[in-house]
Amino acid sequence: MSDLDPDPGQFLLRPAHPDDLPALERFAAASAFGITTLPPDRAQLVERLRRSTAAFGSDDVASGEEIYLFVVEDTARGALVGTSGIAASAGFAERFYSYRNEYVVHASAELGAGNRTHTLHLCHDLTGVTLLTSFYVEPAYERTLAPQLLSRARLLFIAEYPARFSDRIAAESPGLADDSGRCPFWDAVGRRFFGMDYPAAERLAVGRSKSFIAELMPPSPIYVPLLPEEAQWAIGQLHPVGELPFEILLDEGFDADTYVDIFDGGPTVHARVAQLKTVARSRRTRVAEVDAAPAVGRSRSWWIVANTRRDGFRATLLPGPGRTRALSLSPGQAATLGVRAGDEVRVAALDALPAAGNGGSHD
Amino acid sequence: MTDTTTGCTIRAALPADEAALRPLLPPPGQARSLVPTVADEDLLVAVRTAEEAASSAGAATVLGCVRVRRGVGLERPRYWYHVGCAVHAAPALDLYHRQRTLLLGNDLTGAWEIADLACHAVALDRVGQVALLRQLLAAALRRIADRRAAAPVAASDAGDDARVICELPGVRDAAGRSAFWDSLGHHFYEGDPWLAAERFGPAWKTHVAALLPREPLLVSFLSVPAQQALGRAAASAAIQAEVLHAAGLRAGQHVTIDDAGPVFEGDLDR
Repeated sequence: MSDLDPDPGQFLLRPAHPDDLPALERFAAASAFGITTLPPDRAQLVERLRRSTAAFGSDDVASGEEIYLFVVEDTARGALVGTSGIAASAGFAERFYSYRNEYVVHASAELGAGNRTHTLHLCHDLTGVTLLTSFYVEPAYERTLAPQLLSRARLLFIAEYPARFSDRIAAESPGLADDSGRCPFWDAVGRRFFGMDYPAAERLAVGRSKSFIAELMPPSPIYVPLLPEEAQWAIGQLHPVGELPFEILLDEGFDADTYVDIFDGGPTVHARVAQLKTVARSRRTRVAEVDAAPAVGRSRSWWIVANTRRDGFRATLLPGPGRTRALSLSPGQAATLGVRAGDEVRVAALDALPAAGNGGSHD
Repeated sequence: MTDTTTGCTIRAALPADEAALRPLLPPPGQARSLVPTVADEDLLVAVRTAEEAASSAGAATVLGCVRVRRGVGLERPRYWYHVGCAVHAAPALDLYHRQRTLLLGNDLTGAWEIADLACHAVALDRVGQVALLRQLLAAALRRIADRRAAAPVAASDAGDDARVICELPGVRDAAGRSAFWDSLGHHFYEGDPWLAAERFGPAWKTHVAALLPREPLLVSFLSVPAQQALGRAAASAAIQAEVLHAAGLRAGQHVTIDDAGPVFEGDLDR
């Protein structure tokens, strides 16, 4: 499928609907490894779709329990090509656990010696922050701009509805593990307290809160030099399947050096929402006209453009407008976004360009 | 005071005993001399009664010795690992894990310390060694009782002053390496611990503690040989362990911070 070369303007991001269940099941099955927020279980997916629909549809003041699931549609093919999500508040009513990297410095003048020791501290720092979740894009679309829209357009939704989210944001990425589920970080740390391998612990965790599991971990810090080398090396290391979404988050300005997942040691990135590239660049503007001719040929740069509705949120990619020109849309673009002349939209410039190639990816 | 079994007399060490003590004890380190020069420390030596009577003071063969210190850790902080326990349990998951923990601290500060309990292994058979070490230990405990009677401490310190401890060396392999040190201390101090211990004497444990973890450690993170070494005395200290046990001292919840040797404890008021 490396010949796939869609026009970025044909991608539409919108809230997931109950009708999208078959596609989500397909994505969940394809990404069975590493995404606990996209479980390969119909009942759980139905429940997540129900909660997401309720969250988009609710006028109520946010409780933090909301999850928002998005899908990206290739409108030219009429097919869904990926999904992404937001959990309004990590941990919600429970504690959200991470290991925080800290460095302890000790010295002895008498011995003429000192050390700087890497330690991992079990913490709840990220409890209540907004979490980006459930990223999956079909391998054939990996080198298109679909993953860019999937990951970044949800930031425009957050920018549009800040009261529904924390001003801090984080995302978990899968850590190192082999195909059989053997995970060096888990084997060196979690296994000591659970006496089982990682896949078994994940099965145990299904239907239970992660914090319930985390409360079995020792509260005292882990002195990293005491871990086997393979486990030390795995701290903050990303599973290759997580590379694409991870790179997008790093480009947004997320910090990847502070927190790691307490189970597999994968990096948990975090940031201030306002400092993310897409949020900082985003601004509201008005649609000036809806009769422009469709762009001819390939643009040198692209913008993410989203309407400002909550329930009917839609975002797509448009060729970069000139510096001073008001936003002009073709009738097709206006229909994709569900806007008319005079409506407000939120726009942010995108640096990424489509590339050739393919692969599979997750967050 | 002659012991009829050993034929030895115990007396305070004299400066003239210095040379005779060297083969028995590790080097004095920064103290420079094995014979104590400070008021709250005693070194007792065992000499053959007959030989002692026949020669001038200090010229007799020293067959064994024992050192007594008051108020361990009061002059400079002394550190031990407390061996504790942490239980991680989740009845709903049918999980129950008991973990041993190590916590660096100064728990035994203020106790009396018996150290350098040693005898000539070449000059004496095993029975003779046991007898002589018993005699030395009894003399050390009498010495402590005399000193406590002569100079009682304030009531607030009485609890610590009623405790006596004795550290024994931990397990080493044939090459002299300690699996416990290699698995733990080595990650925080790269130098040779035994050379440093010789150089600094008892102050070594104060210095190296400055480099060691302050937070509780889980024993399960250490190598299996290191876990097995925890609180076990070196084979070379087996007779000392036996003699301490016979005198009513018991290995407690603490180990030494370099090779995890046992720390025997006793209650002087009992």
